[in-house]
Amino acid sequence: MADPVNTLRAAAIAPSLGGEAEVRDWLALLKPRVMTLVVFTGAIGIVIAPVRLHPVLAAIAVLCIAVAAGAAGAINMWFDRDIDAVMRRTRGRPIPAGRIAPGEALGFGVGLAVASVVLMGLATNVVAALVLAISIAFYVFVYTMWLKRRTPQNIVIGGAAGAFPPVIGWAAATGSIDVLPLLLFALVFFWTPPHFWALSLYAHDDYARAGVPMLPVTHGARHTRIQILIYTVLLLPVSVAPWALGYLGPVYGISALVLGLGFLVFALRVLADKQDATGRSLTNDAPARATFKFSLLYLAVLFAAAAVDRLIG
Amino acid sequence: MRGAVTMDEKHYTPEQAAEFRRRRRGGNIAIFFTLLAVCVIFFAMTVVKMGQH
Repeated sequence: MADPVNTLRAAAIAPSLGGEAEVRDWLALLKPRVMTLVVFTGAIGIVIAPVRLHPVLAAIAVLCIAVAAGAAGAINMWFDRDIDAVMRRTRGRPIPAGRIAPGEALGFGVGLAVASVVLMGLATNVVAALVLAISIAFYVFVYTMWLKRRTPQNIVIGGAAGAFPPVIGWAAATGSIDVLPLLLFALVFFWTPPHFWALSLYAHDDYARAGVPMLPVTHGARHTRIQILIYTVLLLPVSVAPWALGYLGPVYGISALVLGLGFLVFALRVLADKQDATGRSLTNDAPARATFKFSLLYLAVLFAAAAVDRLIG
Repeated sequence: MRGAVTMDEKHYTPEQAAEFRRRRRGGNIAIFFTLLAVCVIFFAMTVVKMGQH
């Protein structure tokens, strides 16, 4: 007997013939909302580096990070077109909606990925281009193709893909990799699980319908709430480390402490949310939604604080 | 060329053909600006790189 999830996925992608795309559909393939945070953290990596990169080259480096993130997003949409088609949140995307053919999306993504790496190498240095290429490959092969459909740890390990930008930015400016960008890598790495699990708590039905083994689907909402709290606790010392080890100053350090304690409060609210016997929220996941929004603010403010610290220090 | 008709367009109603042309024009303009941006990027990068040596 056919797997009902696979049957649903196959039926949903049948109309994807392409040919009706508008410019905005091609832009949508680049996942512009995800790109925003990637660009920001990459730019901060350049700003906090001890070597000043020429503004034109810095702008090109940031553009390369943005295009590479978009390219990885386009390839991700090509590979995930079957599950995107059955998830309410993603079924309007250009491929499952039939506005862009899968092959066109793949070619678009691969072309942009190659172009971004080559341009990064020409504008800055080989190290930055290499790390950029690794970040694309990690997102496409490790997260999208390997982990996402196989394990609830998908976003824990796969989250590393989103942690590369500050390292790339630093490498673009200096031509090397140092302790500080690796600490910022660790910061984004530990930030990703509570960020995504907060989303997956209220997108649970979507992931279950698509057969994606997100933590709330495989281990239940209650276990996910506990994991969100654990990773938020782990995030606090990781976020403070750049200050404690003397790489960044008090503006960053105090911001990390205050924001980290704030994040903990949000995580505790998620844990204490009114739940049924299975741990499903009785408040329409209001605390989880608030935590997801706060996590975005958390990362943006913390990286901005790092830049301020370096600029005034 | 505005009057050009593609294989697909032969099966379109006048409204669909107009919509098809509108989208194709949008795509062409986007490609133009993308190529222009690439030229500007490489020009600026070359000027900066030459100035550094």
